[in-house]
Amino acid sequence: MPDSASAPRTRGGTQAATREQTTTIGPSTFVKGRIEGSDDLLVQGRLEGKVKLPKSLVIIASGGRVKADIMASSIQIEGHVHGKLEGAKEVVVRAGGRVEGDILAPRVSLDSGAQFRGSIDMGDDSTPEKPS
Amino acid sequence: MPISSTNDAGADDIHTSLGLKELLRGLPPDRRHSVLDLGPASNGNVRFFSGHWCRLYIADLFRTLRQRGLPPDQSESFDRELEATLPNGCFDLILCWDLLDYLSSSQMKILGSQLAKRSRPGSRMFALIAPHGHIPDSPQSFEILSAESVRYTNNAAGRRPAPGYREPELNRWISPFAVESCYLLRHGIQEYILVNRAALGR
Repeated sequence: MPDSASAPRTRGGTQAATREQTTTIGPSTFVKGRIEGSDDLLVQGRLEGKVKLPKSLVIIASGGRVKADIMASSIQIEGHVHGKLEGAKEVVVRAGGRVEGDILAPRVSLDSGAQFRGSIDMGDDSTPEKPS
Repeated sequence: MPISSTNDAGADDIHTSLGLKELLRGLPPDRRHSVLDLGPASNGNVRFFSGHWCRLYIADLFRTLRQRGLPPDQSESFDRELEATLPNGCFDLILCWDLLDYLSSSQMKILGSQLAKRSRPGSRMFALIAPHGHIPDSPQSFEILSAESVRYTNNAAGRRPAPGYREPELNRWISPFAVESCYLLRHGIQEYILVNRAALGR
């Protein structure tokens, strides 16, 4: 699987995974349960449960509604998410995205117009970074 | 003195902060900090606190309370809503921003009590108060650009008179927090640093 950071991610004006191995939950689809594997995931519909894709990119598109804990390499949110988000690389909440929950990632980005309620943890309990 | 925080809706201004640096200096150096931001999420604030050893909690309190249709001055329901809305934790630093200017004295008392339950002895609170003039109809957004500068963004179309709270009133209403220091900024806003008095043994 190619590195997700190098893959182009624009399709039809919205951000989407364009790698060959992408699982898509379409706008009219509702999935309840646990998702695991190594493919990327694009959610345009509804999803409830747990997502564990530690090496993959997960995108919640603007119409996507997710109530789930998500563990992935990178997580990008344009829709609504309620749950704990754990990104090994990063979590990005785009304009219009709405997140209620906790974010754990070394890099967190909130675009202007994004809404977020919860905690953001970008550090490691054992590695203090003192204020300069 | 004109209060330039009453800029037009959607407009933003960058202002010097005198209190932020002082506030950060008070963070305990020997352990991870816990910061509660009562304002809306801001990428600048996330970025700023990522450079510190801390966990950041964003409450977006005013918007959340407004979305729930809170009756403005009913103490019991306000207490119940705060209990449900504020995150549980033990916070070293609370960023109140201009929220206090939008609360009545009874609401401020309830907020003080709820925050006291969620803060450490000696925890500090950062608040911006307009001592006179007019303020936007709803709280502004604040983005920390550095320890010495903050971007104010007004999201409200209308304005209303500032309640003009003073230090003695804050001490009385936001108890057990008490004013530790106060800075009058050039644009007329006062920055307050308050401290949880439990640490002072009162």
